[in-house]
Amino acid sequence: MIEVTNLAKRYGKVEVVADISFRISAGEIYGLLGPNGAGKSTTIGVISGLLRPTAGQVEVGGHDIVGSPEAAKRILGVVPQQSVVIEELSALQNCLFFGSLYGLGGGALRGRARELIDWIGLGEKAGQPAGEFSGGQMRRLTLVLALLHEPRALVLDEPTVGLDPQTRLRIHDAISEVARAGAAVLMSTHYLEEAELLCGRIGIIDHGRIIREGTLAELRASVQDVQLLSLRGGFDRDSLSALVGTIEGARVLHEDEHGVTIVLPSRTSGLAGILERAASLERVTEVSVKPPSLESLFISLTGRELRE
Amino acid sequence: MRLPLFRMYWQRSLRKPGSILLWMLIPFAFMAIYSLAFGGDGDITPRVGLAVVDRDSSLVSGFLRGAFGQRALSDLIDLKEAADTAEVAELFAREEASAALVIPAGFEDSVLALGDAPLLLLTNPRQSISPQIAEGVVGTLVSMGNGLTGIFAAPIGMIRALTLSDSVSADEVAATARAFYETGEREQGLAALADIDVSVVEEEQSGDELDEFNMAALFFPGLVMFALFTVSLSLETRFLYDRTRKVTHRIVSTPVRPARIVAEQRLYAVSFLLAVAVVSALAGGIVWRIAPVGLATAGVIVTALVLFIAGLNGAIFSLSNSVRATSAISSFVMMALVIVGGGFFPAEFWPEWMQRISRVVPTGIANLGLTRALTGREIGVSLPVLFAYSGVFFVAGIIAGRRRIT
Repeated sequence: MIEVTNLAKRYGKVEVVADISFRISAGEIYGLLGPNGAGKSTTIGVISGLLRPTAGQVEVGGHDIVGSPEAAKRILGVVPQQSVVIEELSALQNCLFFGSLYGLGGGALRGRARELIDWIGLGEKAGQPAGEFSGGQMRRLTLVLALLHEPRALVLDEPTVGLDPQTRLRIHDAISEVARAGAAVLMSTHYLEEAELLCGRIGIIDHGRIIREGTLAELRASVQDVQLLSLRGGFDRDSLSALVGTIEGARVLHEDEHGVTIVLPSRTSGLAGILERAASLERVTEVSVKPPSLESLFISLTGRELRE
Repeated sequence: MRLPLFRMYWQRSLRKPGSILLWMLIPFAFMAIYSLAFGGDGDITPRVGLAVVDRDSSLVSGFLRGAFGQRALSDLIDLKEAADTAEVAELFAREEASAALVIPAGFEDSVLALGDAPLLLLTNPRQSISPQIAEGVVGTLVSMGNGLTGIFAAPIGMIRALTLSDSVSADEVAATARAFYETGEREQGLAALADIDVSVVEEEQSGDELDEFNMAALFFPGLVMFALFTVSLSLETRFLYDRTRKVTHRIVSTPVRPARIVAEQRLYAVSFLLAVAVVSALAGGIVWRIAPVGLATAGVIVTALVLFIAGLNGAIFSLSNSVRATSAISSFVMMALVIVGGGFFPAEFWPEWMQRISRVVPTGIANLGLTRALTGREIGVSLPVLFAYSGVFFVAGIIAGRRRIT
């Protein structure tokens, strides 16, 4: 339903997205997982028809987003990163307006709008100006506005960022329901647990490139190979190198003034002894090991925490 | 034809019209100030305050003061009696008088003696134009007085003799009166003066003619033009706010083409400005009793004007996503165009070289055309040129807006 092929987006000499390809089938939820500035929103901007790609192709339901934007957009629902509602209009009027942009109208649109407003839990506020809504309510209304025309493909850019846990759960349920109804869903997130909970397949994106892609099971399997040793404090570089040199397959992933992160193969034996030696290094204040997880995989791939 | 964006913008405006309605009050507020400054009832001809200190309190000084009360002069001069120069200073300080005429003691004696009879005119240093008007009026009056004194020198001399005499007989008074009569008879020019009748012949105008000239018709259209600019600025700020809040982006992600989105925005802006113009014109026309003439021409000019304003501000607000930057540019351009276009003071009263500049800018063409149409005169400007401006800027507004949202 959504097919992205060798997509690139450049602003002058800055390459924001480079050679990204993925495909999302009907009923599938694909998660684009990456830290801020990784290129998620730019990728979604191109897929939504808001940005023109520098290279590559995006097809939605077989329609090229550049060549036939109207046809592609007609089957695409978009939930932008920030809540987008017309604040002076009520929830219902917002629905009637956005529905009319897809050529909908009359009783059918009104019925569909009321149905979705009730479904998302805003039934009692249907006649209230959207500007008076809380942040979570605006977000839910933004999702409703993307679903009015029953899109076959839904694109969500960080749909739950900054929301309270209750609203987040409600939106998670809604996204799952939309996918179960047969829509192809692409969502970007930097919440690992959200990606693990909702997405059948995940693409890990950093510096504009997808650096690992797979189903949750595939990614978990590759995770088994990796664990992270984290040391906080100040170090003598020679002592640190000597420590890393004694561990087979180990490498320094990230180093700054606060500490160092070392990637260890999960098969590494004698972890207790290594920890003891690490703790004995000069001025080390804290030593910890992250067990194999999607997060440790992400850090080992990008050198960054997801929420950096 | 379905125009979802056009409808949505109108819905929003009607739901929260507050700020825009405030802008609409601008021409009324300005016009009210003009009326208060120049006098009410739609007659805004300025009057000059002239204080008179009469130290002579004689028959002749009374004649002089009375001359300012004659109808033609009383329309222009607001005479205020003052006891002394201290009171004049107070009137000057309160700006209730622009000049003060001091009639010295012995003025009558000097006039009757046909000697020098100096008058003193003090001018208010706080003002510039009004004191000059007062000086001109007093100077003209004094010239006329000098002329009459010269003609009637002989009978005036007889009056002087009578006033110096201890006893006056009825024959002497009759002789003096006869002398005045005979002098008048002798001076054919003076007899002719009584028959002077000035007829003002106006060139015949095409279209409606005004029975009564209303100065508000000269000022109000310019102020409405200013209001249209400010309302337009307010509308464009809303569009820009939509852009920065990504509402416009969200709309672009629907199947509606960007060019259509911008076209509907412009259409809404034009329709809103037209509504503002019609409401303002109706209300202003009623309040200031502007005669309903030249309305068809005025309607055509206003349509061209709002197309121009909507296009111009659309283009300016597409330059940047910064409210501060675009508002500053738009405000500067607006003030320049409104001032040069005679929005605050009709260009008709300007020097010719400034009028020439005014006639080439769209606001000047529109304002001159409007004021002339509403005062029942030929508009004297080129409507095709005005529409050319409107067309160019309206299209520029759409093109620039489209580039900004895609």
